[in-house]
Amino acid sequence: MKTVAGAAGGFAKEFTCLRRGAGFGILAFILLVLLTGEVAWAQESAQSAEGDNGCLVCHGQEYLGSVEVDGAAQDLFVGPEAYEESAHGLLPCASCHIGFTHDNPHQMVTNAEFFAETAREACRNCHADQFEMYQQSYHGELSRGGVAGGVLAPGCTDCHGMHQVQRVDTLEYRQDIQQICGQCHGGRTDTFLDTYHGKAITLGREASATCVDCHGSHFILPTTNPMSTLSEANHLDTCQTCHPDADEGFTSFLVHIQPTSTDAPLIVFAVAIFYISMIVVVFAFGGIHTLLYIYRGLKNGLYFGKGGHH
Amino acid sequence: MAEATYPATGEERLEGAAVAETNVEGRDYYVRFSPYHRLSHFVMMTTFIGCALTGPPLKYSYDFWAQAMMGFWGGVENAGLIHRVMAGFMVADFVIHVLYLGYHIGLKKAKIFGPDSIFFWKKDLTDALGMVKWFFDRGPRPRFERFTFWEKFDYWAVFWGIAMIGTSGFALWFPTVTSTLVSGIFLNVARIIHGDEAILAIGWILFVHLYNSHLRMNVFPMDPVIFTGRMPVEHVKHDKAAWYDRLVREGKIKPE
Ligand code: HEC
Ligand code: HEC
Ligand code: HEC
Ligand code: HEC
Ligand code: HEC
Ligand code: HEC
Ligand code: HEC
Ligand code: HEM
Ligand code: HEM
Repeated sequence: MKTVAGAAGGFAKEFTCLRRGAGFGILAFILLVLLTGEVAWAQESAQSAEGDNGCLVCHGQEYLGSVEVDGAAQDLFVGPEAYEESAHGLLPCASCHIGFTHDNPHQMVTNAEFFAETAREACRNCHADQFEMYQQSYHGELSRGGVAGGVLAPGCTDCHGMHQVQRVDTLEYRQDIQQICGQCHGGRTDTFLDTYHGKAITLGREASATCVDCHGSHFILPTTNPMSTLSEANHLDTCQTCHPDADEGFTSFLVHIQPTSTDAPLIVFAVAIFYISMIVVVFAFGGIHTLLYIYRGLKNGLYFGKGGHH
Repeated sequence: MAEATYPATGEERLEGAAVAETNVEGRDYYVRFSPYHRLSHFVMMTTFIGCALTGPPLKYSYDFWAQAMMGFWGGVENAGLIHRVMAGFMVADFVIHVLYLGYHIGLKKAKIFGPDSIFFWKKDLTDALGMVKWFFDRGPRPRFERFTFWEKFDYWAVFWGIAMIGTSGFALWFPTVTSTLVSGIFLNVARIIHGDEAILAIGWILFVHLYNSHLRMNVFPMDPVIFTGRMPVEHVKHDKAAWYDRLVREGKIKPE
């Protein structure tokens, strides 16, 4: 079930030996580092996040490679700098990897499923509100039911990452959201990017709306659910958070729309097709006239002052 | 630049179009565009360029050039502000032009159809066919009147364009007003109109209008008439033969 790949292979074998034999030596060394060397480590390089439980001594090394779990490669490398810059940069690794301690870092590894579960559940310990909302959301419901249409429902880490959890109040994160949701809702992202909201946020206008400003982030529900931020009852309120003057008519603006598809309302479809045709006809007229004029001019050599007027 | 004494009636002076002038660089010039026409075109040109530099970067937000341009303007909000200011002047120019038309047609009883009019008439069709023949050397160049058919097309393209782009632009500018007056779905329609009309207008100006004013054979590298208003009489004669004949007949210019 679990195979070791890459550089980790040799290392891991060695590691097993170490654990059996000189294991205590290395753990003692790590302890030493933790107790005495924190400051020195941090100064020397970004290899040590504060309170990393000493895990980064090994996991901060890129040559650790990856392990294969259920057929998927899992990178064992945790970028120390990125970790430090993340919102959790000050957290000890074991606050999520519960039970991993430097006394025996890998006692839990034997059960990958359990390990993954604890890490995910860990979010709940500190972010209970978000967790509860998520549990009640459509995504949360799906996650308990497993797979829908071959796509997995997103968990905390699909939207936030594992070790590079960004602060959410930054422009960068707001700009990323469309891609995050787009992993599974690509069509919706495409149509969204065709609206002012999508264009403006892409170009850095932070005040513009992105997916979660309309749909919510943790309590996402189908729009048919009365509790949804976009249900008939709540739709207008949602727009009004940024468009205070909006009234009921405003909600008939279509966010996710492909004007040239036949699903579009007739008026939108008709105008889109009309304009495409007009562009073709007008450019054909102008283009042909211009090209013929150039042709005639070249033929007469008029551009080079040889001929007469016109 | 002294104006010649060639007869110009009060009316024509008002229109500002039919004044002949001699001896700028020793040539005879005919004043084709009045100061109003020139100013109006200048405003249209500058505001159009302003809008064309600030609007499309939003439409093509995913392209690197658009992002670079938005960076240059200092962000979407700034570009949007410039876009709106430019658009304001453009629409003002347009409204004044409509008033101007109303004044001339309504009060001065200017003829809607005729050789001096920018409206299409039957001759445009025969001229267009004549042009095609001329392109292939199958006939003489048509004897144009004051406005050639492509100039008229040019004018009406702009006229229609400003009307559409302006209406849709204001609809997007005040989205909540639009949805109150009509409905939110008209904002979807307005976006299509605004974006597509912009493509149409920019393409037209770039490939047709600028061709006509810069690269058309005898004006290369540029026809300054729209800025100076003055056109050499010899050009009038060769470019717009029927008009030339009429001006001579009416005694407005001295035959060459
Ligand atoms: C002595 C070096 C070393 C230290 C210290 C270390 N690890 Fe590891 N870690 C490894 C190696 C090697 C593997 C891959 C071994 C395997 O999967 O068989 C690994 C695997 C893991 C895995 C992946 C398990 C899986 O199945 O995907 C996790 C999670 C992990 N370590 C967390 C930690 C945490 C948390 C700490 C700090 C408390 C830590 N490690 C300290 C070397 C180390
Ligand atoms: C905010 C919680 C959190 C913190 C803090 C955290 N991790 Fe993780 N870590 C996770 C989650 C979640 C996973 C993925 C579990 C899964 O679904 O497989 C994970 C997976 C891992 C893996 C397995 C490799 C992989 O790509 O799945 C390693 C190794 C690891 N973490 C090491 C560390 C180290 C070292 C630290 C401290 C520097 C750390 N973690 C801190 C949440 C955390
Ligand atoms: C579908 C994507 C998605 C999932 C799944 C998700 N989040 Fe979030 N989360 C977001 C977004 C987007 C934000 C940005 C805040 C906003 O605009 O509402 C956010 C914000 C946060 C915040 C910052 C505080 C706040 O509410 O603004 C925390 C903490 C958080 N999430 C934790 C979690 C936890 C814990 C889970 C798992 C139970 C989780 N998230 C699942 C998308 C998600
Ligand atoms: C040990 C407690 C703890 C655990 C476990 C934990 N977090 Fe956090 N989280 C924090 C703290 C502390 C912050 C920083 C809050 C701050 O600076 O305002 C934070 C910040 C965040 C933020 C950014 C919030 C913001 O306001 O921008 C997100 C998103 C987040 N955590 C998601 C997660 C996810 C997802 C998990 C599970 C993989 C997780 N957290 C696990 C304590 C924890
Ligand atoms: C990991 C994949 C994944 C990610 C990431 C994800 N979703 Fe979903 N989402 C799903 C799946 C699967 C469904 C159920 C689809 C269905 O029932 O047809 C769903 C359903 C929904 C629904 C309910 C409506 C529907 O289509 O039935 C909404 C709304 C939604 N997601 C919004 C979002 C938003 C907003 C984000 C980003 C913050 C997001 N999702 C991120 C997988 C994802
Ligand atoms: C300005 C508000 C707004 C924004 C921003 C927005 N949406 Fe929507 N979304 C809606 C509305 C309104 C609907 C319901 C009408 C429809 O289905 O088109 C909807 C429908 C959906 C649905 C189907 C929900 C259902 O119940 O059938 C999904 C999935 C979705 N959006 C995903 C996204 C994603 C992903 C993004 C970001 C890339 C996004 N939306 C951005 C307003 C928004
Ligand atoms: C997070 C804030 C936010 C939310 C929520 C939001 N919008 Fe907007 N929206 C904006 C901003 C900012 C603008 C740009 C306004 C401007 O510059 O005049 C905008 C502009 C628009 C425009 C004008 C588009 C254009 O091309 O100029 C429409 C239409 C619109 N929003 C519809 C909606 C609808 C419908 C909803 C509710 C489903 C909604 N918005 C929710 C922030 C938001
Ligand atoms: C005449 C009056 C005009 C008005 C009132 C107007 C107004 C607007 C407004 C309000 C927007 C919304 C975006 C923003 O907030 O910046 C916009 C976008 C835009 N404008 Fe204009 N504009 C006008 C003329 C023009 C012209 C002349 C052009 C180009 C030839 C142009 C090209 C664009 C483009 C390409 C967009 C982006 C549309 C999209 O993303 O689909 N606009 N305009
Ligand atoms: C960008 C630079 C531009 C240049 C150099 C330019 C130049 C010219 C010239 C030389 C003429 C006179 C053509 C002739 O009849 O001999 C002209 C006419 C005209 N221009 Fe422009 N123009 C520009 C932009 C614009 C723009 C942006 C608009 C409107 C949106 C516009 C609208 C018109 C109209 C309606 C006419 C009168 C019809 C015609 O004569 O073709 N121009 N322009």
